[in-house]
Amino acid sequence: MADATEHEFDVEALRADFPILNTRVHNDRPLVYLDNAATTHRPRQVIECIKRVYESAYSNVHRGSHYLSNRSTDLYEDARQVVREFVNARTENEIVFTTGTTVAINMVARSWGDQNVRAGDEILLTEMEHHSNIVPWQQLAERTGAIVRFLPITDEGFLDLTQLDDFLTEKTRVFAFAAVSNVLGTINPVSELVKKAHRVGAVVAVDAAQSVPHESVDVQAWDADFVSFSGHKMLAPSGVGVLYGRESLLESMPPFLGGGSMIRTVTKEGYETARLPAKFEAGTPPIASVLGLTTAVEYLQRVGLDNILRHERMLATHAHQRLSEIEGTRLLGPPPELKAGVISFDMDGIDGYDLAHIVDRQGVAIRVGHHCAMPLHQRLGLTTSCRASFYLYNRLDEVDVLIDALLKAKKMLS
Amino acid sequence: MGPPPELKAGVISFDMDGIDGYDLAHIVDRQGVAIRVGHHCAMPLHQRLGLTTSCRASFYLYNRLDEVDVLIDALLKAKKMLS
Repeated sequence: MADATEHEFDVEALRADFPILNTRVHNDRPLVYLDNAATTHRPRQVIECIKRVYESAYSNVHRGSHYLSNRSTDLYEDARQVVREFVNARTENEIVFTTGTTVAINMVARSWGDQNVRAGDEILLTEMEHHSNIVPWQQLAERTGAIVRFLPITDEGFLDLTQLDDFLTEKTRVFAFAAVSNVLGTINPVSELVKKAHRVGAVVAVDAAQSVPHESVDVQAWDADFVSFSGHKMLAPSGVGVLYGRESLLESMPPFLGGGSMIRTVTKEGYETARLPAKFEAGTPPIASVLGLTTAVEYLQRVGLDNILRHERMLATHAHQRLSEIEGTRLLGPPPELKAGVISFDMDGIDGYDLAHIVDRQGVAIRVGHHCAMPLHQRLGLTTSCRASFYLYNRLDEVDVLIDALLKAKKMLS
Repeated sequence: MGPPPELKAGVISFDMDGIDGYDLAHIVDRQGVAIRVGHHCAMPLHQRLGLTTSCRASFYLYNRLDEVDVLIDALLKAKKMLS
């Protein structure tokens, strides 16, 4: 484990934990991985955990009639405690393991939504949402006749809070928004928004996929009703995510998926649901991935999320500075000191796909496209943008490699 | 329970008269044998069979013939202890 304390952030030592960062790409160039908002990499601790699980502790959970099954179940439930502490939920009943943020949001829209949303009710989203925090709500509106509204953003990339009172009203049944934008990097004032939503009686669902990996999250401080996040964006294996839900709400909701584990009894006439959180975990869960998530959480806690945020902000500040020196470059979203380590940009007259292609040939992995946020790009007057996103293992000089690659691409494409 | 072996997959569920399946599986587990006990997510079937639970041994490509004998020895031991 890298020696990183509160005052010392040794990026080289951290990098030594991530074998994939040694990958050489295109003509033996060192990989510069700047696509962390899409997915992150796994430290060897997580990889070894998965190996250990499959080699010595794997069996199905909650079906304990033998040694391995009991061991697997104990580890799985210990993982729930680790995650509960990580986000400061009140009880383990509030932590539901899912396969990712998308499924978690769909669970809320289906289970809570179908039970509580009626024709004419309003569902409030924002213009900066990821499709996975738009489409499940649009589907809910299709099923129920509810109306989906979008809180506008300002030209600077913040939520336009001056319009909040016009959009968040007694008609609003649910307010669903991202804690951190996956394109703009904007950090939204979650607690403030929750307070206002609760004042009008709306339930709040926070998409924390870009937040939990990069900043300390306390669901009780936020006071949100639902919070979703994914393991793969925070060093954990793919295929695992978390839905935090306020216990009283989860208790009142019907199960989302039916199957094994989520029932107390089944007869030919019907079924009785199991207690929380099993009620929302039908079928065999992603056992090894859940255990890998624990190791990832422990890794992040050892490095310190405050250190990670500070490091990312340092990288983002440098990237902002260098990018703004490139003529014709439009930087999207707030200034670096007010956002997460996500920088999206557009270069005047240059196709983003061409740009990303040339940059990739230099070994630099960035993302181009609509980043699952088409409505946001429409608002920005763009169809696509390029995005560099940082994580704890990125080095300052990788930003310079990106800039050099962009300058080269610009020269080639102008 | 179920069809004869030549007509089914490598799944054998059984019940022992007068012996609690959980007790049985517990003792079998102490002998190192992992079987499942319970309703196997099939309560209506168990109701149909007149049972609440059953024990189940299920095989895969890596199981050896002598492991079946270990299971049987463990079951005999358990039966002796529980009868």
